[in-house]
Amino acid sequence: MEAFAVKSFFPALWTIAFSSFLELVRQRILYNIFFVSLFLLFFGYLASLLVFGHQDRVMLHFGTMVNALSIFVVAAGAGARAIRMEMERRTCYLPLSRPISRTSFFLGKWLGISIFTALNIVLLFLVLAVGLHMTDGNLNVAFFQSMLLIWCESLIVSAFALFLSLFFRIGISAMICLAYLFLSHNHEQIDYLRNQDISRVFTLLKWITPDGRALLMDTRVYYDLPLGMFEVMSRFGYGLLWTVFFLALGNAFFFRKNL
Amino acid sequence: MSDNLHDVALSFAEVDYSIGRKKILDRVSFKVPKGTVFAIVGHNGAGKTTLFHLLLGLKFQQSGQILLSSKSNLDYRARAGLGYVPERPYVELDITFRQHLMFHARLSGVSINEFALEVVRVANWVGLEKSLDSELSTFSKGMLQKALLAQAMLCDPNLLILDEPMSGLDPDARNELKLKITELKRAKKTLIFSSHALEDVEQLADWVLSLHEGKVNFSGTVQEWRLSR
Repeated sequence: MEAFAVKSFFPALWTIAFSSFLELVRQRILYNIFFVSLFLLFFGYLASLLVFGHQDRVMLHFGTMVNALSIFVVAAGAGARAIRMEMERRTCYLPLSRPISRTSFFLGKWLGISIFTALNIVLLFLVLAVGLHMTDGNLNVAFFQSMLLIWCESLIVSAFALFLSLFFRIGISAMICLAYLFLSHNHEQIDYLRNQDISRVFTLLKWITPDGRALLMDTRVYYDLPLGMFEVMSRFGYGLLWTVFFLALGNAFFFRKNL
Repeated sequence: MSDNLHDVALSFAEVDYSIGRKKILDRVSFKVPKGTVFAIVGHNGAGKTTLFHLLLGLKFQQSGQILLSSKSNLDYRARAGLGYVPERPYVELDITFRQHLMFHARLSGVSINEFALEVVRVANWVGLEKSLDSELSTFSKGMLQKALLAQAMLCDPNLLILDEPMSGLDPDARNELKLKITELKRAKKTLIFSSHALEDVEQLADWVLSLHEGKVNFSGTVQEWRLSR
């Protein structure tokens, strides 16, 4: 019986992940986000033409921000939708009536989104590479590191959105998720307000939000200041810890949720 | 009814389920013998679908015990060898019938070598082998019901749960489905189905459970049920 549990967990996880990935590929709204990102990259290219020298830096900086924005919106939207939609349409009834655990279903959904965001990053990266080629620039090491950390942050975003979607409707979950992302990138301000002793809310906020600054290295991309391998890995590990936290929390609620 | 656990495909013991203060199922107890056709009857809102959701682990009872072949319904492994047809086609409609079957075959643990054969076998059984590569959105209500029956038949389950399988079907489709159920009955599969149509119950079932506002108001053989009405 135990052998069956282990044997069935990973195939079920991959099957759900693959189907979740294909579901995202079929959704038109995500293509719209992709095309808006392409447009913004093109806008970045135009902006780079307005400066004297270091056109490639402008393009890189702009490209990093567009990639981050696009991936976060996709991760928040897809995370908020993945399980909520299945619950609302009741399409989760059939898969969950199979001998698979709810954990493999929950994690499978998240894994599918993670693969999709990785693909999205690669595609936008290729477009950016073309843009850089046109401005006679080169991709630097810091840019690659930044892409890895942006993807890592998207893992947190999708895990958090999945968790929220167990309680809220799709739009509300996505909005809370993006607001949370905004908070996480303003850790410095939260820290400042916490030290002013205005309210204990800021202490709470500090502890329940990841420090987005650890995962965003836009200025380093601009000046080509790559991090050391250990630093990259520790920042990636920090992101993964937050992801695991939200996945564990979401799974604990989903595990005994009446569908 | 046999009390030997090995002869029982499914048992409910004192199962309660409420939403807020509203009792949906109230101390429901019954046993389904293996190899029989068991019908659950009752008006809308009697608790038939909730009962199925509880045994499938989609909802969780507040008290009582549900055993599937002597394993608790709370253990997902108890659902191995079980097929389920929901009351409405709750499926992704923008995929093909083959993709739908492949997805469920993988979740049921069909090995990679047997995928193709298993998918064709169940599609053949319901007579939809020519529609394997058609999108489910192009299927009629009757075809969708057959498609759902096909996915439930993957891995040759011993226990089949059909939630109002005849609802919304035209007379031809109903007859076809009844023939399939009779075929499964002959193959000694355990079938549990819910229905509003009393003639279907009389025609197909061996045992009947009648629910009224979440309480069992009759449980026995179809002959006893006929006499009690």
